[in-house]
Amino acid sequence: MRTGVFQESYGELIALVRHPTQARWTVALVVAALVAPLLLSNHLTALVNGILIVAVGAVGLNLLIGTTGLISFGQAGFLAVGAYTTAILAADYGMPLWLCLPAAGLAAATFGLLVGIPSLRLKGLYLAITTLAFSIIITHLILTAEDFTHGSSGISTPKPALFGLELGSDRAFYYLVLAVLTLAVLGSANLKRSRIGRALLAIREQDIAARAMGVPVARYKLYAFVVSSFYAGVAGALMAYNIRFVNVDSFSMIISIEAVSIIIVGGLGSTAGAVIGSFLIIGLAELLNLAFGAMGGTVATGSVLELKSLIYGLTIVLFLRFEPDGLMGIYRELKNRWINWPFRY
Amino acid sequence: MRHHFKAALAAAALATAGSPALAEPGVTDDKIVLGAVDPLTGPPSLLGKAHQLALIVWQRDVNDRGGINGRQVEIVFEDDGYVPARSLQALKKMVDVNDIFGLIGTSGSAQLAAMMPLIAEEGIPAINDMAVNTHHFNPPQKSLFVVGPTYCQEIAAGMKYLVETVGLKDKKYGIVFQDDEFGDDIRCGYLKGIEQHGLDNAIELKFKRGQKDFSAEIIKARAAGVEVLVSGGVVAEHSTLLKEAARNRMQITFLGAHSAHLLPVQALAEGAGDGYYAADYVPALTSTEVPGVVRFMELAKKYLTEPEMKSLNRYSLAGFAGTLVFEHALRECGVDLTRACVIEKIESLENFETDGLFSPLTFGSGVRHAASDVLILRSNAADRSFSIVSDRIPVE
Amino acid sequence: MDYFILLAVSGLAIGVIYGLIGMGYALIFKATSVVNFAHGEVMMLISYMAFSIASSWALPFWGLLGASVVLSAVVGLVIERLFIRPMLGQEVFSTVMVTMGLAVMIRAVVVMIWGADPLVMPTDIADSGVEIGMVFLYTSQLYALGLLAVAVLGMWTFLRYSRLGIAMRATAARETTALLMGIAVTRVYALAWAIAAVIAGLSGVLLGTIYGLSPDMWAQGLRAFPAVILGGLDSVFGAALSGILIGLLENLSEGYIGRGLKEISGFIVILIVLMIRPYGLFGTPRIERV
Repeated sequence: MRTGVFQESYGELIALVRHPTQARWTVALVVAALVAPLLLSNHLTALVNGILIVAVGAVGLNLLIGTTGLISFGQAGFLAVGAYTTAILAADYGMPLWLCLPAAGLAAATFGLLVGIPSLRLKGLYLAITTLAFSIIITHLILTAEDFTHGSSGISTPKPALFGLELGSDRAFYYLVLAVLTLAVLGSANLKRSRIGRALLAIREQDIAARAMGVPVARYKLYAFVVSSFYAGVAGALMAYNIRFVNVDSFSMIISIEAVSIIIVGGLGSTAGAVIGSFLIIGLAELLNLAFGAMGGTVATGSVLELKSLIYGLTIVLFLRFEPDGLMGIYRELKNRWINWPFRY
Repeated sequence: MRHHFKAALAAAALATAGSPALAEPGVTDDKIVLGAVDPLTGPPSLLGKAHQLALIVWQRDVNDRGGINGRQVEIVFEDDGYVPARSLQALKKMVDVNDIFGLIGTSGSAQLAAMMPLIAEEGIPAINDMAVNTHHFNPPQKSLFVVGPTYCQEIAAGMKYLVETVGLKDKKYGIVFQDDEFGDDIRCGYLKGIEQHGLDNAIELKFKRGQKDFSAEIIKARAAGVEVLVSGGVVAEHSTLLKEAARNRMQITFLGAHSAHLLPVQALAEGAGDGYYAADYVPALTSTEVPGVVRFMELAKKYLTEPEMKSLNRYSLAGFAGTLVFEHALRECGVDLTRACVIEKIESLENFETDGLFSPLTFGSGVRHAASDVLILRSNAADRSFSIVSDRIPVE
Repeated sequence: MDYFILLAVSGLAIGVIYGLIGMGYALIFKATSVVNFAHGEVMMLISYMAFSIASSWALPFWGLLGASVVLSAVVGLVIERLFIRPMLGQEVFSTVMVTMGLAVMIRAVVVMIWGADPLVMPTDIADSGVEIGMVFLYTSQLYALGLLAVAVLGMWTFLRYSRLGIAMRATAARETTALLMGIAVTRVYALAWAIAAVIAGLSGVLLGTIYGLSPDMWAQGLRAFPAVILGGLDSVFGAALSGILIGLLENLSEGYIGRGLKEISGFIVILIVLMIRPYGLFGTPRIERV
């Protein structure tokens, strides 16, 4: 329990790690993350890979929705752009992984710039609808640009390899994903504590007032879109290498909705929340799989998939109703209750 | 202190990681474990459930007859909901957790494409009798065997039937096809037919997958004077096209690939669902003149419940016939069952009979596609069935 | 010319249904400022429920429609009470996300109860229709046209002349003031959802009759969304009219340009409208005060 913690200088205010305890817990987390694949089975490692990849995208989306307050349902479109860019570059042009990943990010960022333009004029629901329309149009374009994107056949990506190291196995790929996620989280945390991050917060609260204070609102709004879609593009690239098969079907509107619900369930505005939210939402599906697998027999019970969808939808609804601050909100409440016990918080 | 702990952890991990592999995955003294990935939920479950039921019928029959060389067959089913990413995940799970010997359910075309790298890597003997596409066997995979013609071959055979047997050489032809690989394959067959018989290609119309309203397409087809319509739709699209054509007072002859050979397609088209043609490579469930069908239906009645019987369709027949191929190879390999042996046995099949479900199948070294000749079926709305109206048409 | 007329009539036929669906979206947005992303799913649910009713009792078509009206009202009220009312006081966006979660749930429930296979709505007007010149319209499509007219007229009189209707307009304009004036805002919300559900249910039954039932019917609800944007999110009549416009646009663009434009033209319209005139043709502009 920490009391009497004050930030007395600007440096302390924007420090990444505020207290030695925080540092120790972070190290423990890093160690756990590094050791995890050795303790988990192949199958579980593959599952965690999927979750971490989604987390990369979620961290970016959190910057857009949570920090800047611009609601976007375009995640699926940006993931698709990233995945397809990587697939085309890797499969058709034989480009190596270390080129494909940033290329995918840049491609998605370009589209992000386009999608961000409406945000200069629109707010809230109207912006959300525009991004949704964009996402659907982008996936449609990918389908029609057949000569380039193989249309609906999909593209099979080669095995990921970094500087000669084969990363095909789930365990090896885990470390790559972990590295990317670490960079993503650090980038996001750094952005939020920088001048730009504070400007984005100001835009979220009241963009007209921010403009009055001298914040270049238009530029920073576009910046938020570009950064967020860059993250999504990289996540899409990782997806392409993970699943080894890219197809427009994997990027439907439902993915966008799932992404936003991850942010909300995790806690709007919190980077850690984005990661935890990914674990909850994606992990929930797998947990249900296990639960039903344990109950059912060799023949899959008819409505398992639907039951999973039902529980998934219900989770979102319940979170929104009872815990609008998400998991991070619950954590904060618990922490404060614990600190202040036996006094009421 | 921390160093010792980490070292101990690493040692423990390494020790567990290096466990000796089984002699052959999925085979024990009394059991063979096979896997099947099928779309068991969602709209494509029409296909997946029917396929799964056939595999269950086969499994129960084989086990009741004493198993294969003293081993009982166990099938692990996984649902991929027709999403390629999930198919791969399901296969990974079956390899890691269930340790399957072979794969007898490969879901749809894109789904199998997603699984192919892993199948090749692990060398899993696999049979695809559900959705045939050229890139499944061209280039030929070592352990993946594909049974059934491509949609291209099916439709080309269908066109041949329409021209030579029904006599529709001088009519105007048109095609409505989906904007994906499936539709492209249908169009391939259509164009082959047009070229081979010198037909009048009046119009080609592409539509986006999931589309429900075909009024614009039918209006365009009507304006072009189409009299024979080839459908590149999956299930519901066939019915909608038939209905729209009827609504617009068009007299057309309708041809679809094997996905039109389904009772729901007939039922959904309501009044317009009578007399259309479907090109398939398995007979109808009611084709009592085919011994394979009779055998399957008897077994199905024995092992399935009434509601389950209702879910059977042509995908059940294809699935059952596919398992016969696999069963043959399993038996031939005797007690010393290995993947390499099974692959070799299937590869060396020549004119393998499936009691008329498929035409005799032949594989070979470097040949992983046994096309099976095509049958044309006609829809009879009056008694809610399909009947075979042609002999087997060989495919090119 | 024939070609154009055929396409236009087709466009009108589907546009009428878009208009009906759009009116539901607009009504809920007008009354509660919430975009109901579960609208298509509610439509699908009621369509399937109607299927069960029609399969158990042989009803004449208008009887089925009547039963659907009652059913829809109940469904709408239940949904509002269970899912939307508890969100009172929270941000609008949260409620919108709740409707998205609700949509996922309804989709799952429909497949769990009725299965994933396409179904035929058992009605007595299945293949019947009328021929007007070279155009043939199904009876159900004529019903759709009639229902849209009735709905538009009904909503107009309701909103203009009835007390509840005026109360609804007041709540839409200024909720706090409406509360101060003694209007039971929660009742207004419930009513808006009930009416929207009724309109959705009717369009669902019609869609099910014309195109058959399948678990992806909800996508048609999404196709009607451009109509609501074009008309203005809070304009009920705008939605009705724009529905017809979108239907015409889809079919004419597909007929004359093709290339799968039918599917995407709606979303392109959304983009253009939102960029140029976000409040649509008939919507009321919202002025943001700092």
